[in-house]
Amino acid sequence: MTEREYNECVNLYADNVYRFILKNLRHNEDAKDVVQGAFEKLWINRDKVENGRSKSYLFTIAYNQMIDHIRKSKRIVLSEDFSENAKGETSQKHDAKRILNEALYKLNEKQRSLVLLKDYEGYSYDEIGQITGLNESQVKVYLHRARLQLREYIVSPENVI
Amino acid sequence: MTINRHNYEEFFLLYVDNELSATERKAVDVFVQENPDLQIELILLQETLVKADDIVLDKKDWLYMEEDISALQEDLLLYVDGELKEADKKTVESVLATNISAQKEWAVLQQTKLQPDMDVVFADKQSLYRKEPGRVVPFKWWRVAAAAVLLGFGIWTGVSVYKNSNTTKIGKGEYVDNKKTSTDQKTADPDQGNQAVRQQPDERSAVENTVSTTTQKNNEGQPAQNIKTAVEKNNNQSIVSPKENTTVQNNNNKKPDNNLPLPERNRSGKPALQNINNSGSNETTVQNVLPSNTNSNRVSGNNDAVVKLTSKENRTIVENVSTNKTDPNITAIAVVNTNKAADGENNNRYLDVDDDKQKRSALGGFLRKAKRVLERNTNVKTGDGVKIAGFEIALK
Repeated sequence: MTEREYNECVNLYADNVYRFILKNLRHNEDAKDVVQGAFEKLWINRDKVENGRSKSYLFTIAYNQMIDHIRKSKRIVLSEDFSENAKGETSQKHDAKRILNEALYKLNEKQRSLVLLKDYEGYSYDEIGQITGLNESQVKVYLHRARLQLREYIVSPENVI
Repeated sequence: MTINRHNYEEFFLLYVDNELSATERKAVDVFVQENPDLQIELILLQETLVKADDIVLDKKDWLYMEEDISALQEDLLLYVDGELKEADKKTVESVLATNISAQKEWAVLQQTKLQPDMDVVFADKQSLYRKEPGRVVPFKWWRVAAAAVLLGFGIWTGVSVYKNSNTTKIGKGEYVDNKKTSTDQKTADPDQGNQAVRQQPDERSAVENTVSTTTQKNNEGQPAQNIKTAVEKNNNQSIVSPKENTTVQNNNNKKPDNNLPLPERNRSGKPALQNINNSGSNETTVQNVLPSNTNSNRVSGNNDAVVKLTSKENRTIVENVSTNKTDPNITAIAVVNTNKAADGENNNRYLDVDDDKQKRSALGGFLRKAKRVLERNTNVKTGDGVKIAGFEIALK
């Protein structure tokens, strides 16, 4: 990977990685640190990483650093949900999104990561498995469980849309 | 293995861990009865066992496997994830088109699909950009090869100049070797920067005698040639060493400042090499040279700088033509005014200039040699100077 290709990766994937990490950690500064660390590692190992695999490499590094961060800090996130629009509108769509976000944070970090990698980035089961260190069948089972949990939370009586 | 007082500890540990067979447990019980002093040791070991009965896991629901996920729900989950193959996708779509409960389930599952918020961006991308440090550009191999070729050419030229010092050429294609005394290479006298040609006084008479001899021998009807020796001075020492049998004599005539050739001499005039001991002026001298014969009789080997002379009607153009080797001491250039030959053609005459006793600049000789090689190879006729990179250096 050349210098130009690396800088192009910054333009293409920095937002995606940041969005993924921020959704997991729900902390702006921690998410930035993880993103910085991931790109730093990509730069260091640029000779070993092909340009076509740079995105998955970034997500792999970022995911591992995120897990390490969670285990080290054991932080209870009390910050606001950055995916929310702070305009104060109370539309049905807005409620649905809020409920979904609440349901998302009912999942453990692994399930949440799998759902985010699938829905945000569109990775396949196999690609998610390479990023998270799971095999394809494990990804499939964990992801289905997470999806059903989200479903149950959405249709629960207190959250009926 | 039978239990005894030397190996009973191992049997007691296995007994406590419940790792002994029924027969072995019975043997341990018998041993303990026979050795009552060791019974207390077995009891103490049994009291070290930890019992886990007090720890209970609450809320086991999340461990239970959901065995009642229907095949349809499985397909719908795969469909939401986009993991169905084309054929299976069509099957699910056909079911959704007809099955109402499947449609409801599909609607709920679609709501579990997250959508990325594109407003969330990483603002500080500048901190992520990197720049590689400057790197050394490898030297291209062809540049090295070109440099080696140039260096080799320079060495070859220098060697040629160094070796070629003893050959002179008289008349048309005839080379005459120098005398021993005259074969010594004369090095440039750095103090005489503008001195072109010198000839020792004792050599001059020998040259004159030789000219007389060749005059007598010249009975083949060749047109006498008045050779005007143009001696140019330059800052580099130009030295022509006199050679035996040279027919060129020094002429003390000086060239006019307008560089026009001097009037021809008659045939009775004895050609002589110009003996210029002064410095600092450009001079062209006229020489009478009577070729010995017309046959090309070059003597190969150590040739002096050969002067190829071409003549025009009222002007002479002197060219330096290099042979294989060039005497670095030879810098005199002979300008020949030829009478028109019988055939009306210009005659090329080769003039050997004796350089024995005259100092020349090694650099000047090297430059001349290089110039001759260039002219010969490129067929570019230059002036009297040496052209290097478009600049012509006048040779005196």
